[in-house]
Amino acid sequence: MLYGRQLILPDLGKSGQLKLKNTSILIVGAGGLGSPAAIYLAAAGVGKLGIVDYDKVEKSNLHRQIIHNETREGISKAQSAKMTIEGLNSLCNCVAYEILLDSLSALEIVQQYDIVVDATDNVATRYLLNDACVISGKPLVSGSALRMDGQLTVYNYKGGPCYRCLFPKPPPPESVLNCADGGILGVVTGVIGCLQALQAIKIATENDESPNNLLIFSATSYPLFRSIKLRSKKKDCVICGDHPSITKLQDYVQFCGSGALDKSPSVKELGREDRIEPKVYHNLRNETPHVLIDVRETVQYEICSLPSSINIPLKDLPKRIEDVKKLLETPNTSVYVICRLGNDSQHAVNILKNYLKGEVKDIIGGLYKWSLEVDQEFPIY
Amino acid sequence: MSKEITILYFATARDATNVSSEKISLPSQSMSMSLKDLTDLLKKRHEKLVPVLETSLYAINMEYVECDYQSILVKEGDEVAIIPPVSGG
Repeated sequence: MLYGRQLILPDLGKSGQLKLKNTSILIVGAGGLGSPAAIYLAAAGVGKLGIVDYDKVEKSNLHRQIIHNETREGISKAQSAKMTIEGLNSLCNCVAYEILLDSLSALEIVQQYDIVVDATDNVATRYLLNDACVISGKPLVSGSALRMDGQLTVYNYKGGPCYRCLFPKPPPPESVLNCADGGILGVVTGVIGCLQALQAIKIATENDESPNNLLIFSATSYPLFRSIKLRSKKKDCVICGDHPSITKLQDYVQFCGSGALDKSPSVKELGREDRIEPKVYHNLRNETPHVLIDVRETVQYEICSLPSSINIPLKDLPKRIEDVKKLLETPNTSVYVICRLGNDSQHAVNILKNYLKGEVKDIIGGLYKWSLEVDQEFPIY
Repeated sequence: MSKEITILYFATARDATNVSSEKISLPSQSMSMSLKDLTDLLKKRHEKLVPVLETSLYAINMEYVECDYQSILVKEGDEVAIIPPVSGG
């Protein structure tokens, strides 16, 4: 019997299983958090699951986005998730939304579900989902994870706070790391995603006695989990307070100063005269005496690097100017700077220009573009 | 011996300070300090923490506190957690 082992649980039983069957849950994001959440919710017998994701499966996703696999590379994440779910439990009605949720589409979709799981990867969509859930009166099971840390909270539930009550101001865009830049251990998103599934099941089966709390997970700390007791919602919250000033969805990209995409923005700090194309650098590489400085973090440099490059991480550069000068054959020797994507290298050129007499240029698009245009064997990570 | 409080740093707050926790001594002769004064002290100790504190929430002894920092007092032995939002996934 499909649900036999959980049906005999006194905490669930037949009535709980029926409640799951009659519940619809919207999972926004089929990534590191959404993968385990969707798998466990489908397996547990949730009647209807909506999966929202605009992105396509990439190889670099698979260490954590375990609902996808190698054969799905390049196809829509929402569709790939639906395929896995249908193979796992054919009784689950799964709806795939291959869209980028925005202020125009969010309310209509959110209103069709009982519970919303926030498994997104960016600040703008977090505020959007919060507001959509407050306006339509849905509990929001919010999870997040980066590097070795994660957080779990249920917002807009049992008189508790919403996301804006706790975080009224979005963090400045330049301070927000995404998984592509900051890194993430797959099992950390797995822990939080599983807890989101658990929380959604407790809400669906009306089995949740715990007070409102913010659970913090830190894989490198002891204890691993800490639970922060929250208060009720804020009376002066702009959306869920007594006199809300926000009554409809806003422009969240403008509010947060960053887009709803988990991609690193391109920086344009230098003019053309201070930059060099990877192909042009490739041609002069063996002919012209120069120094190549790689300003990535050492942990990244150790993954792959260009021969004869010198690793000086950007954050150490200001105090290592003398080291750079010692590398130069003559005071006029050219210096080229490279990084992963061609953003940090521009900051580095601006620092170095103040101290060096010779030419200082950064390699446009970094090692990523080097791999695309010069050496296809060079790994992209 | 001076009277101490413990500060816990999470996520980007830990990155900004390079420590996960530290002890802070209360000013001599005093039994407590306001959360506002503590915030100012932490900003002086860790320059990189300044922007992080703008959008972090505070918990004292694992209980969330609202941002009326002037009237909230931190006492000897208290544990103050600084929790910035994590947004990845």
